[in-house]
Amino acid sequence: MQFFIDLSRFSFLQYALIAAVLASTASGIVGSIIVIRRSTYIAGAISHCVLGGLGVARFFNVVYGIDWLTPMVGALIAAVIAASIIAWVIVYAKERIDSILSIIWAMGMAIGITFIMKTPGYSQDLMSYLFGSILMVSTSDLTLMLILDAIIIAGTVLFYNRILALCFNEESAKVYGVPVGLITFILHILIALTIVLLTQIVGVVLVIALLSIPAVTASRLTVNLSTMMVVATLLSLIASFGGLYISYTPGLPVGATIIELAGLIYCMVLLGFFIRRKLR
Amino acid sequence: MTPIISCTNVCFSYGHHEVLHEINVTVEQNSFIGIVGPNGGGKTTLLRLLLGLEKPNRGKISLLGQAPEKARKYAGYVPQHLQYDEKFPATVQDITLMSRSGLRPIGPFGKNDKIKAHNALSRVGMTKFIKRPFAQLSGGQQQRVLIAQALAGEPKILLFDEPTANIDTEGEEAINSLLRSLAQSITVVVVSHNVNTVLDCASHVLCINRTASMNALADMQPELIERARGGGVAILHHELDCHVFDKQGGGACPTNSETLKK
Repeated sequence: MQFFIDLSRFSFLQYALIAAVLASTASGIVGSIIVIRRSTYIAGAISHCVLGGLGVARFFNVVYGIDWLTPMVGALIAAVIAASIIAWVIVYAKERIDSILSIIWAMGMAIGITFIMKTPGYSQDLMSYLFGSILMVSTSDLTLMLILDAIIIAGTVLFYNRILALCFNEESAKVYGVPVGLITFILHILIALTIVLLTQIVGVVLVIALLSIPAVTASRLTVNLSTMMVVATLLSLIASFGGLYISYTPGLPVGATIIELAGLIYCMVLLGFFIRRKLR
Repeated sequence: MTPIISCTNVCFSYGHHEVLHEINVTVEQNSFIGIVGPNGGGKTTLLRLLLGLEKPNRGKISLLGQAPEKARKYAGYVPQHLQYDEKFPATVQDITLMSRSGLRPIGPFGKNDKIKAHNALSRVGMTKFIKRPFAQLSGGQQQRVLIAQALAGEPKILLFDEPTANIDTEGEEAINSLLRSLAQSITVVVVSHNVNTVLDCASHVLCINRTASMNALADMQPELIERARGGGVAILHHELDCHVFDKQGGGACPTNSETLKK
């Protein structure tokens, strides 16, 4: 009850709820694509690389006073660079993609930790980067999230058919005239933007979970991608609101609670299917 | 008239293993070509070259008078083994519409696209499954939907790699009948081990075994055709080095090592 009383009084809670809506939308849409394309490892590599961008941006922001280079802007730059490299490797290079992803994953983390540790001042931010800080979302963060969401929704609506064909079978898509290189690039940019958006909520470590768990749960309940996106968004929203509510009074970490709740919903859906099969 | 397919001195290797050597083939519009040959003879590779999915080491290929990469959007292709997620979340309609995704650069499919998809599904007898999840269909039903997918893009040429491989006898006759009707308006190229498909439908037979030779079906040995039609022969086996589609007294397919077997 305290949660609802405070919700009407404190703007930080209202901002957190708005952030949850924005993050859930991106998570449901792009998470579904990631799941059907089996690209969770790609999302993992980009999300961990984001830490590098956060750390470098904060260092230059604090040490050299570059105001525009906020950690979120740094995260965005790092995510887009990582996504572009991955898309290029997938389309043109013959390198083993899992090796490239491991390098991007580890290098991003290493650069991030180095710069965070060399940044003067209290390094409490490290924890919020790793595990999210939905209760500390500012209006400028919300504005950036809203812009990213608009780009993600527009990109998905415009290229939905081509993304679906690409995810089904790349060679068929190529034969039918889908510009596979361009769509792969667009798809990875959408993944990058979504990861930046979700980093604010659950941090770089738990981003893969928020991207994949609601979408995997939705895949058990739906028969086509567009419905899967809608259901995944709703499930993500339930997990985010529920996680925020459950964690508020006992002071639990919000990001972790959101993920735990999403995992619990997944287990309940699996259990539901199991019971239904037994009852038949 | 420009030939719909033209291969001039085409050679292709996987690494050091040459799969196709000096292929010279010309296919005119509205022909029905049956491609036969032993496993590993280069049949599927030739289809992939025609679609620009592989590049020849030497020689020149043109499809509809253009480079394959440019012209392939006018082609319909049903591969033998299409790799896809068995739980892929898409309805039969979604899958059928995919061949039109190259025709519509952005935005959702329109009413016309859906009518084309419906018509294509009707031709393979799958309209009643239009809203069903593709993942829940049997292998044969999925194959028919993939044929509908190829048709929905209104192709000028259709390339099939073993279209009846996963289909039962009843379905096979329906597919053969469909292929015959398609060949009246567009060019059809079919790789098939199934003699019935080749003999019932093809106007020409292209024998591929590293090299290629084209033969008019009318020139084929009549008793062999009769034997294949009525003698319960359904499958071409690739065991002995004998020439199935020899011309009488000739040797029209000297590179082919196929044998008909009861």
